[in-house]
Amino acid sequence: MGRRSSQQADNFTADEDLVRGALAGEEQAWDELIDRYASYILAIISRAFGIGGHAAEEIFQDVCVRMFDGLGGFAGRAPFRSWLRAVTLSACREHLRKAARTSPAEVDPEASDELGQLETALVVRSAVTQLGDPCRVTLELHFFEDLTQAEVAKRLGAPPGTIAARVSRCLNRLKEALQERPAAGTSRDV
Amino acid sequence: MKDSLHLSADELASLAVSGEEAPEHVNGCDQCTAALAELRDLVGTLSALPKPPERLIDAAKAYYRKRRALDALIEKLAEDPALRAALRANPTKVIKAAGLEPSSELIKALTDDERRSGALAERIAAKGLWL
Repeated sequence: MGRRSSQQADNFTADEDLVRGALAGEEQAWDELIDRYASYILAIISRAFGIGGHAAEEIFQDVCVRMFDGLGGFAGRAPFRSWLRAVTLSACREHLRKAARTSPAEVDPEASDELGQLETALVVRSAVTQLGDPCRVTLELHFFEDLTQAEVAKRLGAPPGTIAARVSRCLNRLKEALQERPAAGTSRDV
Repeated sequence: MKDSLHLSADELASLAVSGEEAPEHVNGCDQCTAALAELRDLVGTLSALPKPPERLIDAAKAYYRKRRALDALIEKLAEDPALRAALRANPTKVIKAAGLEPSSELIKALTDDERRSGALAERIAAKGLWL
């Protein structure tokens, strides 16, 4: 089971396999699901519902608990991310009902394009993890870890100019990889 | 417009990443404008998902291990009268031996025979095992 840190393009583990692994007691499979989806869960909570601070963390916790409890019932008929999105939406709506700040109908991210944009971001993130190194690690550090190019250069022990050129080259590789990907909806999308 | 004036793919990507203003050629060139817009969209998408705090990631990962340990303990308690007796006598020892933190909430939940069940595990796991 490849962890994200060591994952290469040729050993990408499909979500369904990670779910099976987590159900079988493989800690690394669960860890990989968390690495893969934590930012997506938080983005739905914070961007699609506008919930932040302590409440956002409580909902994140609730989603992880529901995810653990629900893995056994995940049949794999739809992509895992769709199932997780439904779990997260449900947790957010329940929070809003309990908080009584607003009725769920007043916050309906499904009526906007917000969820679609987040799903696109998830697909792009997945494509980055499958690029292989050094592109994967360079893009992850710069875009996902929010490091500047100078910080990436220091972390990787490369000249800043090399990193700047690599970011540009890898961005184009990513663009090409996305154009070559099959239509969204397969298990390898995320 | 001559092809030689077009920006290379890497030059366009560099502009997209830096956010710098495009050179004059790009503004008058549909091909370069479209390519740059596409790359800028991609950069925006790459930055769309927030980086979660490390402690949340760590807690979510640790939760799995704690929850598995709790579920295993509850299963053993259901099957083993001696373990139930040991739990009543010294709950802290039994809970620690299962790899769990013996919080008062967990002790209370596990030593109450009427409440101890799979459903109970789910309820207390949400609050008692996080962090």
